[in-house]
Amino acid sequence: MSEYLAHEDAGRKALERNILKHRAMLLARPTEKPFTPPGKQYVVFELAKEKFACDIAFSDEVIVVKSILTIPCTPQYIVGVLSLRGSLVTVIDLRYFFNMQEKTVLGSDRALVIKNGDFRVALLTDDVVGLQYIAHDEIQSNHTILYSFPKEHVSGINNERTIILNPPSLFKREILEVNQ
Amino acid sequence: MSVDLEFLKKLREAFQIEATEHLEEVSGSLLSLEKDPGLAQSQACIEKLLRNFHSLKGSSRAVNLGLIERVCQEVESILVEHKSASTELSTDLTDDLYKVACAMLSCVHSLDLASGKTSGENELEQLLVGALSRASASPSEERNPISDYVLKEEEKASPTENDVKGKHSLASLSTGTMRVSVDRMEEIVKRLEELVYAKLVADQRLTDCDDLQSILGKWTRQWHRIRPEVENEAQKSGHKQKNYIQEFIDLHDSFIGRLQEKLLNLETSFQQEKRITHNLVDGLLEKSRELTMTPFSVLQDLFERIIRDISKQQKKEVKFTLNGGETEIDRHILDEFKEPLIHLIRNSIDHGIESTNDREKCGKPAQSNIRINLAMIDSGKVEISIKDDGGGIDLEKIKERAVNLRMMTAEKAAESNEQQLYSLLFRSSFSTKDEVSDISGRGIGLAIVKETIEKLGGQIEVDSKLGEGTTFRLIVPVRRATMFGVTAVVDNQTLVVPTSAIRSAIRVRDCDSRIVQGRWTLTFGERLVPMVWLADILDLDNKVDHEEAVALICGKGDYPVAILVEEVTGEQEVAVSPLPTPLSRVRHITGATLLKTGDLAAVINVNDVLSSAHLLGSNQDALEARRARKAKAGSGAATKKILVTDDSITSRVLLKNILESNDYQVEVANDGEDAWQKLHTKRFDLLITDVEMPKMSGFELTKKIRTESTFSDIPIIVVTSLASLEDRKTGVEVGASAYFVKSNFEKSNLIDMVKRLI
Repeated sequence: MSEYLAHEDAGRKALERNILKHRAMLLARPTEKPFTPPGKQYVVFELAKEKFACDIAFSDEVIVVKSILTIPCTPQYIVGVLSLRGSLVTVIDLRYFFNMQEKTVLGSDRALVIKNGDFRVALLTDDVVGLQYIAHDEIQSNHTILYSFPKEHVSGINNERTIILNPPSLFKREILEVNQ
Repeated sequence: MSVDLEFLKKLREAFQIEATEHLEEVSGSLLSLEKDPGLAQSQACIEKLLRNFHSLKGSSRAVNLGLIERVCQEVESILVEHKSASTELSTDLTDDLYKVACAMLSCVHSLDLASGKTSGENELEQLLVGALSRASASPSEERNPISDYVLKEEEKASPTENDVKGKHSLASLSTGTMRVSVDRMEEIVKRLEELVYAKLVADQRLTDCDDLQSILGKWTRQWHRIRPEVENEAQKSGHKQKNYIQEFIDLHDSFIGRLQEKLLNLETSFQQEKRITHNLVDGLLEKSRELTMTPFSVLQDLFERIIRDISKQQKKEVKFTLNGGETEIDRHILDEFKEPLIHLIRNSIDHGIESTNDREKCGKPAQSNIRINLAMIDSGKVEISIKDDGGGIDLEKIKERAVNLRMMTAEKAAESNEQQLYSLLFRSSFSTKDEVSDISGRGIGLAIVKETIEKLGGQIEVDSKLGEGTTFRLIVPVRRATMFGVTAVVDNQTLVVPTSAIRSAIRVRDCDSRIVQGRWTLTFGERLVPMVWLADILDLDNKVDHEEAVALICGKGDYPVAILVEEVTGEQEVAVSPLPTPLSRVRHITGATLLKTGDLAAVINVNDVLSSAHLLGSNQDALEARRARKAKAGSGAATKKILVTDDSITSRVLLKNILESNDYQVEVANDGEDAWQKLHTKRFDLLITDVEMPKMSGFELTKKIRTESTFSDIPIIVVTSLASLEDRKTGVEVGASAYFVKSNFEKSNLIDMVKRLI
C-alpha cells in the first residue's frame, strides 16, 4: 500500500513538473536581444552640406567657439588658434583641406576637438548632429563616389551619405603640419 | 612582469644620470691632476676617484652591469695600491684612466633602458686590459683594501657633510636636496610664466573701474547742473506730479550715492588685489627663474675636454684657466651660448695660438694660455672674456682679404680703423685662415656667434694686439627678463611686437619720408632707413596711408628697417606660448599671447620679418605686383554691391556702416518685399537679410529668390537674433549661403564671411 502511495506520489510530482515546465515555456518570451552588427560610435557633423563621421575614440569634445585668433602666413585650411581652458588649439577648416568647392559659410559656432595621442586640433563644423552607431559592413569604401577626397583620409561612406573619416591617417602632424 | 620592467627602466635611467655624474667628476679630477701634478694633489685626487669609482661600482651592480662593475673594481685596486704606497699617479696612468672613464661614459650612454644592453663593451674591455698591463703595480697581494675604504667612507658620510660630491651618499636626504628632472622643473617655470596674465587682468579691472567712475562722475556733474531746473519745472506742475518728481529725485540721488560708494569700495579692493597679485606673481617668477640658474663652471669640464682634444690634435700646448666660474646664469642662456663659446675657444686654438715652434721663435713660452674670465656688470649682465696669448689678429691680412672679397675698396680699407676692420670678422664668408680645417676656417662661424649672442640680447666685441693675443668680450644677460611687447594694429588685427626688438617708434608724418631709388625710405636720426609695411609682409590688407602710420624701427646695428603698422595701442608684459600642433613653424610668427582684454594675439618674429623685409626690398617688382593685385582686389570690393534688408533701422545703419567702411557699396531695404523690388531694379552681388520682418520674412525672401528669380545664384547671408537650431535648418533648407547670429555679432566675422562669399 505504502509502496503504491509512494509511486503515486512520484507520479504526481512528475506530472506537476511537466505542467510547470509547460507553463514556463508558455510564459517565457524569447530574449529579444537586438542583433547588433559589429561597428562603432561616431560623432556626426555637417560641413558644407556634407555629413562627416569621426570615430568617437578620437573625438575629445564639442566646444562653442567664441573667438579665433587668425594666424597670418598660414595655409587656408588653418583658420587660426583658440584658447581652450588656457591651452592653445589650432582650428582647422576641412573644406579647404579637402578642396570642397562649396562656398557656403554657415555661422555655426561649434567645433569638434579631435585628439589622436598628443595631437589635438579643433574642426570647424556647420553643425554637430550627434552620436551615431555605424556598423562596419554599412560602410562602403567605394572610392569612385568619394573621388574628391583623398583615399587615405576617408574610410568610406554609408547609406545615409555620411562620409566616414579615417582619423589615424588624417589627424597627425605629418599631414596637417605647417613648417615654414 | 611589466611592473618589474617599468621599475628596471626607472632604475637604469637613474643609474645613467648618476653614472654620468660620477664619470664627469672622475674626468674632472684627472684633468686637474694632469694640469697640476704633485704628490699631495695626487693623493687628494685618488681619494676622490676612489669615492666615485666605488659608488659607481655599487650602482652598476644594482643594474647588473657586470663589466662596469669589474672595471671599477680593477681601477679601485690600482688606486688603492697607489694610495697605500703613497705614490704619485703617473701621467700614463692618468691618461689611461681618462680613456677608461671616457669609454665607460659612452658605454653608460649606450645603455638601452628597456633591455639593459650596452654597446662599446669591447673597447672598454681592451682599454682595461691595456691599462692594467701598463699599471706598474700589479694587484698581486690578496688583501681587501676596499672594505677598509668602505668603512672610512661610511664614517665620512655624516649628516653634516655638505659637500656636493656627497650627493650619492645617504646624507642627501638630511641635507634636504632633491633630484628633480629638468623637464619637470621647466614645465613648472613655464606654467608660472603664464601667471603674467593674472597681473594683466588685475590691471585691466582697475582701469575698467576707473572708467566706470568717470562715466558716473560725468553723469552726476551733468545732473547737478540740470537739477535746479528740473526742480523748478516740477514746482510749476501739479501737486501730485511734483511729489512724484521729488520722490524720484531723492531716490535717484541716494541711488547714485550708493553706486559711487560701491564703486569706491570696489576700486580699493581691486587696488589691493592688484598689489597682492603683482607681488605674488613677480616673487614667484623671480624665484622660479632662480631655480634654473646654473653656475658657469658646469661648462668647465666640457671646455677642458675640448681644449685637451684639440690641442693634442694640433700638437699645441694649451693651459686653460677659468675665473669667476661660480657666476650663476640661466640654464637656457647658458645652453644658447655654449656653442658660440666652444666656437671661440676652437678659433683661439686653431687661428690664434701659434704652433710650438713659432712660439719659440717669437720668444714666447711653449705653453700657451686660454683664459676665460667672468665678471658681473651692472643690471644683471655678465661680461665673459676669452683671452688667448696667441698671434693676435693681423689687420693687414683683414684688409687684404676684404679687398680680395670686394667687401671694400683698397682706399677705404686703408682708412678704416681697427674696430671697423674687426667688425668684418663677424660677417659671414670672411675667414683669414687660408685653409679650411676640420675645426674652423669656413668663415661662417663668427657670424653665427654674433647672431646667437645678439639674439640673447647681448653683444660681442673683439680686441687684439698683433703678436700678443686676442680677447673676445661677450656681454650677456644672466637671466631671462620678463618679455614686454608693443601691441600694434594691422588690418584690424592686434599683433604683438617684442619691445626688445624695437629701437624706436615714430609717426611717419613727423619725419622725412620719400622714395630713394624706387624704395620708400624715411630719415631716422642721420640715416635713411627703408620702410616696409608689416601688412605687406604678413600678406594682410593695409588700411591707412603711410603718412598716418607708425614706424617701428627694428633691426640690428647697421641695418635698421622701419616696419610700418597702422597704429600702436600700448605696451604690456607678455608670456608667449608657442603655436599649438600642427603649427610647427609659421613664418613671421613666434607664438601667441593673451592681451589685457583676454583676447589672443599673435606675437611677431622680428627676425623673420626683417629678413622678409630685405627680400621684399630687393624684389621691388614682386612687391609692386602684389600691391597692384591687392589694389585690384580692393577696387573690386568697391564695385561690389550689397543689399541689406532689415526692418530695424539700427541694425540697418550698423550693417551699412560696417560694410561701407570695408569699401562695399550698400543699399538698404525695409522688408522682404522692398528687397524683392530692389533686386529687380539693380544687380547686387550679395544679399544680407534679417529673418523676422513684416510683409515678407527673410526666409520667404530667400526661398523666393532661389526658386522664382533670374538671379537665384546670388549669395545670401541671413542675419538674425534667433539662434535656435530650427532656424538654422530652415535657413539651409530655403537656400541661405550663410547664417549669422546677431548675438555673436562681431565686425570682423561678418566681413570675413562677406569676403569669402564674393
